[in-house]
Amino acid sequence: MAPDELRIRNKMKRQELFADVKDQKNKERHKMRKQRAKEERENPELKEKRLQENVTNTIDSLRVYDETIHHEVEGDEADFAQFFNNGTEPPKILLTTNVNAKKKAYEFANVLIEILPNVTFVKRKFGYKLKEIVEFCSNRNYTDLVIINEDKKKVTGLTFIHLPEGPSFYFKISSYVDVQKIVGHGRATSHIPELILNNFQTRLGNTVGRLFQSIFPKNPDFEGRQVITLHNQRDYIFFRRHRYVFRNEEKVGLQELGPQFTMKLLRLQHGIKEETEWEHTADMDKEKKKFYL
Amino acid sequence: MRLLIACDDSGSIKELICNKNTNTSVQTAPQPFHVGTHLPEGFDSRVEIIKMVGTQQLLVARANGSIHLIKLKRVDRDVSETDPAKEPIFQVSELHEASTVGGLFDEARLLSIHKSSKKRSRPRDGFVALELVPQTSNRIFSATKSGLVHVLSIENGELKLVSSNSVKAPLEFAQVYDLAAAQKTNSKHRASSQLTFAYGGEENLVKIAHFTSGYKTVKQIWEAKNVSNDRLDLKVPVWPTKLKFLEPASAGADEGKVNFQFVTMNRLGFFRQYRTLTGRKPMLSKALLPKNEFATQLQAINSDVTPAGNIRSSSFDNLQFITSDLKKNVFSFTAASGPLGKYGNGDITGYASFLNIQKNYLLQGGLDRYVRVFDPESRAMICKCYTGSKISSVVMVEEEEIEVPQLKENKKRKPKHGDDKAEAEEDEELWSTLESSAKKLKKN
Repeated sequence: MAPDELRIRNKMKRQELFADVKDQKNKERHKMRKQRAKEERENPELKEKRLQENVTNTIDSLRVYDETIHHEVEGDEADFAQFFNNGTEPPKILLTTNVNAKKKAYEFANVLIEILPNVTFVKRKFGYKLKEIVEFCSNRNYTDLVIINEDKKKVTGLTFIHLPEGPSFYFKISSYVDVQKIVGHGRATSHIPELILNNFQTRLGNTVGRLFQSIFPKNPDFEGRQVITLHNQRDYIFFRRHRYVFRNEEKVGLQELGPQFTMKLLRLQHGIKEETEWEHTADMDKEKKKFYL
Repeated sequence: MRLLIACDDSGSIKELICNKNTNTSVQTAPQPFHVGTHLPEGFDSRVEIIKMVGTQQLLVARANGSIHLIKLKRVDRDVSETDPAKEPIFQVSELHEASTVGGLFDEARLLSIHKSSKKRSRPRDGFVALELVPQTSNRIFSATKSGLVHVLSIENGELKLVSSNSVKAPLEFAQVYDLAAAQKTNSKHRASSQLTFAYGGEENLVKIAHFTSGYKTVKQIWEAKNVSNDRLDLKVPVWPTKLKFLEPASAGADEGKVNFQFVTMNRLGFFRQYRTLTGRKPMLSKALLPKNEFATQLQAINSDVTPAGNIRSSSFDNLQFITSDLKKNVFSFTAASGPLGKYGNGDITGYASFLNIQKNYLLQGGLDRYVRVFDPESRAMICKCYTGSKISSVVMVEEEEIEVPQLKENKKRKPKHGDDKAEAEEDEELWSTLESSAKKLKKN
């Protein structure tokens, strides 16, 4: 509306007028949509064409150019062998907490015991250095060490250390939703789940994806119909667990098993927490359309 | 410029040809002309150090304990598929392995030390130095983390092991003293044609040693002393990570005494200056980094340096250095004023495992898989290229720019005179409408 027309000094009248105009516009839009839907029902090609032409710009689709995305992964086999310990051993995980952990950490450990395969939980004791723990694990053929980080009675992070020679990952944990709080949740079974890794595109994303690949065994029990999804969106990794149900020959249903939580990579280190390969810093958040995974 | 890059992930050497202002992270910026992969041998045999010997030969130390002599050959680039008139003209290198010497590691020595080490990962032996012996063209000095020092020779294009000795392990560095030529001219000093080097590492104080009787034995001639205990009377950890020699002090020199000057970087971020004539403790020890951050590199930038990186100056004053920490920072500093500024402006995201000044350019590569070239003085980034692999060594072979043929289509057309007039009219119109609308707003 041009500034000339807005000379109504009574506020209520002005609002009334504005509401009228708005209502009129809405009606026009609805009419147009109805008309379009009718046309498209008769001629589905029109809908296809419209959807092709009008692609919404999202932050994801407008991400800053990253040359590592379509770059061939160099030394892929060596990388693979390093994570899968030359493919000879199935994953064997030691789970522990930080020193002097509180109840929340142990509760989260209980949840992780159900999720991670072939896992042993060991209560963290005073007086053992990380170097000694790693040595202990390596001598007993553990392939990964997972440490739950709890701070002020909240689980804040997860550290994954691949054994015997790294790398080490540190993730921030947020938005944890307990199984009991998910409406209509199912009960998980001990079957080895299938794994869906979504949207890990860059070189760093590949490394993170490979960590999760190496943690879960490569031979899922399909009869369990359980799936773990790790979906990366804008550098946040969403953890979800579902069971799929074949309703009939065409329809497949999903039942969430829980829990839900979100991880964010904060640090990737070479070796057992030595040289930093990548670290999240606060100034990386300044640029909204730059993603690292 | 032409760079040779040691790529860890595939164990290869990559040849990168690019011009200034190349940036692979920006699509509109100039891109590298050529990236060629040579001699891939896998991660376990990755290249740790590359050194040029003349212009046609390359020495390469690999992580499997072998040193290779590689011949470089230039060939014309294949431009048969594209239009040669539109393509820049340059040659690419072909690398051929000429000779190899293997079995230069002794990992068992490191394993026994590892228990008391502060490093958590399982130790792997590796090369810490690969240098041409000063004033020779066919003798090579190499040192390993496990404390083995080797001398090799190039005879008729073949590498041969001359001698192997051991010094106290572990080594973090072994720095060859190549300022002897300057020393020779000064009649006051001992004319030294011996191969002298300094070494040190974790709980291994800086020591200076030289080879005697034709590289057969190593004799230690000087050892540093640790700094005094801290204010809680606790021992300060010993962990020198890099050392650079300066020219020896001339004042008060005694012929019989060991006369060296050098600077060291300590893992805990201490920069130290030593003069062997004054004593075994450092003359100056300055903390550069906050607590719990580790420094790894040391390079002088505002002084003339020798091929081995030693400083052609006898004065510690006004020297400017660069260093890097284990996180992602590369910064310059002076002993007097501390840190001056960071390189890369937040662009470097991983540990810079390689830093070196060659032909007045600062070459940087590391765990973030980019090779970057900086101007050391202004700290401006000249070039940035994604290599796809972690980098452990970079050599600048040539610094010349490659001429890019200017295409006629690319040339900007000169705007015609008539266009200017039309533009001016348009501007006038725009101004008049803007002015009228401004008046209206004022009324309201």
